[in-house]
Amino acid sequence: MSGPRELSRPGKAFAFLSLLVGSFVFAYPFLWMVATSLRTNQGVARAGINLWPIQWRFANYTEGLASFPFWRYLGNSVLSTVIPVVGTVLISSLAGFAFARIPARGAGVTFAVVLATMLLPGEVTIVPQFILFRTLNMMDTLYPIILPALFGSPFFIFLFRQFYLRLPTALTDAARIDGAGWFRTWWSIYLPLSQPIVVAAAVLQFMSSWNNFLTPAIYLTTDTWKTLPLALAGFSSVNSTDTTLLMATTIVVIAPCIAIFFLAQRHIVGGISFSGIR
Amino acid sequence: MQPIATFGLIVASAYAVLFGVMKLATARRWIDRSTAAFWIFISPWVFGFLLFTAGPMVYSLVLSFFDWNLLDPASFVGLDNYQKAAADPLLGQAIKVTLLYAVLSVPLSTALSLAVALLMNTKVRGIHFFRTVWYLPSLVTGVAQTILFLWVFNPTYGLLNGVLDVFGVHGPAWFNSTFWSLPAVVLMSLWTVGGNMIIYLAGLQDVPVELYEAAEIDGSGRWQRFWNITLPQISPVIFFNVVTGLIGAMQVFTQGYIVTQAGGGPDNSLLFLVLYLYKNAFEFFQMGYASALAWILLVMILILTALVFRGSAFWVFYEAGRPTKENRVRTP
Amino acid sequence: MKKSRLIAALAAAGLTLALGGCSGDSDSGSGGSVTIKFAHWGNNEEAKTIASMIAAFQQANPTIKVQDNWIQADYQQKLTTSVAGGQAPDVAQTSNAFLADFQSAFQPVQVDPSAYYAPNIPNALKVGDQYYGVPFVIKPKVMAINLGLFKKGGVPAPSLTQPMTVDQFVATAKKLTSGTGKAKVYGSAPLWFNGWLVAEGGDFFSADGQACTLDTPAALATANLMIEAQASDGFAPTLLAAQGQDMFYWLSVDRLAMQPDFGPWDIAKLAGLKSGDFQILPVPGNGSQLEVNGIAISKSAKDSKLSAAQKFAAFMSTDDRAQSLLTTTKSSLGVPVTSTGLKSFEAAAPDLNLKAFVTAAGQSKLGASVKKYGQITGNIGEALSSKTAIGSGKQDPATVLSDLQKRCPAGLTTG
Repeated sequence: MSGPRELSRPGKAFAFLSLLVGSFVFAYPFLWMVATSLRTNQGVARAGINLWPIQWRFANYTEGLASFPFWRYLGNSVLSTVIPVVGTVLISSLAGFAFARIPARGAGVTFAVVLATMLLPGEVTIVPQFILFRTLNMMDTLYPIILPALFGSPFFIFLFRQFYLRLPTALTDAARIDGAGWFRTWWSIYLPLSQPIVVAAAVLQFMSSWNNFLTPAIYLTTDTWKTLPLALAGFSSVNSTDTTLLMATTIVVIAPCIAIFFLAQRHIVGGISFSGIR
Repeated sequence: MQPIATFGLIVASAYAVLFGVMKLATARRWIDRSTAAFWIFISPWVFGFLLFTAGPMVYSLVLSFFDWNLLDPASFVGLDNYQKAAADPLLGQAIKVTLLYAVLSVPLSTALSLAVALLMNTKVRGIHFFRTVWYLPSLVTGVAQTILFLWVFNPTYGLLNGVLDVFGVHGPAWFNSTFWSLPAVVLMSLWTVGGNMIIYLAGLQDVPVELYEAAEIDGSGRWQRFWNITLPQISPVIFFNVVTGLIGAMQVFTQGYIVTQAGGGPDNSLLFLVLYLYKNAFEFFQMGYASALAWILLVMILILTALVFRGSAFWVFYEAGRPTKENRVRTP
Repeated sequence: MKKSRLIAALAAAGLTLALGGCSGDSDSGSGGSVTIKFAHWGNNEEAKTIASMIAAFQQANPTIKVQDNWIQADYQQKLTTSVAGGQAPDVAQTSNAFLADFQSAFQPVQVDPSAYYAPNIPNALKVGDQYYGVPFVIKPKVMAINLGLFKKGGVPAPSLTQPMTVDQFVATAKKLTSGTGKAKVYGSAPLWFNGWLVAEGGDFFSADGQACTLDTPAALATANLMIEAQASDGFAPTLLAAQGQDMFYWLSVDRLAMQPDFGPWDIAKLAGLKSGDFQILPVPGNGSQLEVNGIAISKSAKDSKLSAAQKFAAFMSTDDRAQSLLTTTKSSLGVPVTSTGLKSFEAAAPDLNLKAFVTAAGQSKLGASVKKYGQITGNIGEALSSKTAIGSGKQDPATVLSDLQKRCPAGLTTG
């Protein structure tokens, strides 16, 4: 098992330098976004793509957040993100474990179907799903956004399966000998061992749910259940876009994602030794 | 009745049926207990699949034999939509644009994200900060992403041409050039390459450190260690990313949509397949034709993916065999 | 670790159940009140204005509740999808630009033309012989100018009431252009084909809306003028260079002298500029396209909902309590449609010549109502931009225009 690699002295310096330069180039558009969020609109018109000068207009943040019911949208975003994250990670891990470790007839064919589902562009099922949710009387609620995620995602199932396949089969054998059922084996042994993947999948699902615009735009009509990405769309219309307020609000909206990623990476890249049998 | 209660009832009754059937099947020895366990474990996915994927897909297959503009009633037209697709020059253009995009972006983004992930997997001061910086761009979506890239690719005042100016190169019209709009979109997608970093980082933790130690003792250089140990060990992860990258490239939609909405992509140079599908469904309101296109797209992706899987046997190092009672998965 | 996971899962289940407590739409209100759904578009400011107008209506009509369905993006698509899914809103904001496409979803409405100060206003919402929308706000275009730059360039301020001719406009713009490179000051913002075609006296379609009129001298003159304006020694930035840029703010920082496609949504911003000297004039030539927004009533609205919908449409259109909210010192949805509404409109920015908006309402010739208008004109614009020097092409505009004329309109209705 390995974690992040140690480098030699010159290796470290080279890596650090290339990271620094590369990061600046990479992050420049994002830095421009931050600069724009602190400018006046006239300042933007004058400055173009330069990072300087900045008028330090912090009012952009307060005005941006005040232009829509921020706290309600925030609560809705949290609800429509946390539930899918927990649900999809657990269910996908369950399914991934089954594909990797439970011998069964028809498993191969079923897995091929799982993969085939990944091939489907989401845009294809929009209208039929719309009709389905209308029949279930779920319009203008968060259900159409939360429910599909509670049944696992083919991407994560694939991920978990690949990971579990690499774990020694001796783990399963030992558990079965001790009399544990399949569920106990999964819950007590495999799930904890797959922490890097659990965290990775949770983070990915969080980002995807938090920034999801298309589905909320289709199903949510009144202000009661709208989520944050919809608020961002409210800063622009056919005629004009309020760039400074948009950038300020965007930064606020993605701030939780940044924080979560920063914290989560320690769990993904932790140098964990998980093969309990050596 | 509350909608969630109706839904909950449907799920509960489905599960009652499932458990009943499984119990019966195991009691009658039609299937063994592990097969029953297997089906129960994947039942949530199966249920979601039937309800949210298979059902809608069947619906869209049926719809592909009709002509429906959402406002007037649908009329049956048989194979007309498919014949129309065969003769549609725009569909040919869409296939060309999408394949070109896949050929350009998949190798580039695989190489770049692998390089980035390797770099990010080192113990350097502030590595957490750097990783976050490289991950940030993939978080900027929607309208903000549109504005940002209009600024980056603006032919006169934009960032990219400004940088090229410094080197004395006169940059092209990017989004508004028939030739350069696709490379511009490829560059846009490369900017968000950090999104894949998580998968790679998780996968890179998997490489047994003893292999490196052993190789170092044997005196092999850094490049040899990379080529002979790292690459083969993470080849399953690379494979995974190539497959998903390919599928993602065939399904690219958002970038094409936001650029063409902003007025870019002249002469249908950014007419991606899914974008063309979306336009047929939601701009021209030809639901039947869009459904036919969806199925054509599905078949195409299936063929491509099957090819990649076949080819994987040559360079992916592991046995991803199905576990049966007899065989064991060999640990590397 | 395991315990907290279990708790988390239980909490998630609990939340899901709790969610169930708050959804579902109550169509038939309790105790004799009716609820109607109103769909509209707009950005944050515009949505706030409409919300205040709805509040005024509900105060005047306590038995009617209006559910505010603000569609933040892709309005026409969402509207069509909701109609298809059987979830059509009872009343919907509509524009004369796409009214013809939704004819099968809406029902004809009663409109009294004498309530409005210009015949263009109700006529814009006619399809065939019947009205399909009750007008409640118009969005005419005017020209905003930077008087400071005029003074600097030694050009006298133009008339506030009499529109310039196109030639006078070009001459003025050329005089006010100075400098080169990134510090260049332009005489005018980029010209748009749609608007300028009208200024030159032309139009996309013939009066009956059956044929295109792209092979007219007006169309060719427009195309050539746009190319001349964007030349390297021209008086306007290129369309490509203007992408993602806000022309209004360029005007406000002295990079532009004139902006001929200024709309009412920027009135508050213009009045709020702290420094500089700005004014509003009519658009040169024959004016620009007139956008009229109305309230349409869905075919599915019946009985009590229908009468509630009609009351709502009438209130928004002619009641001063709604019309006076359209333009305030803080924001502007557009120009009111009644003469009493105009009083509060002009009070919003007394220093600016807001009368120019009113003149513009009657100035432009109204085109016919054509299906897929947006798609067709969009394709024409895109073809001109990619094939001629208007954008990034090199072909002769006359050839491109005659080619488009041949394919128009049927051949331009899809991609």
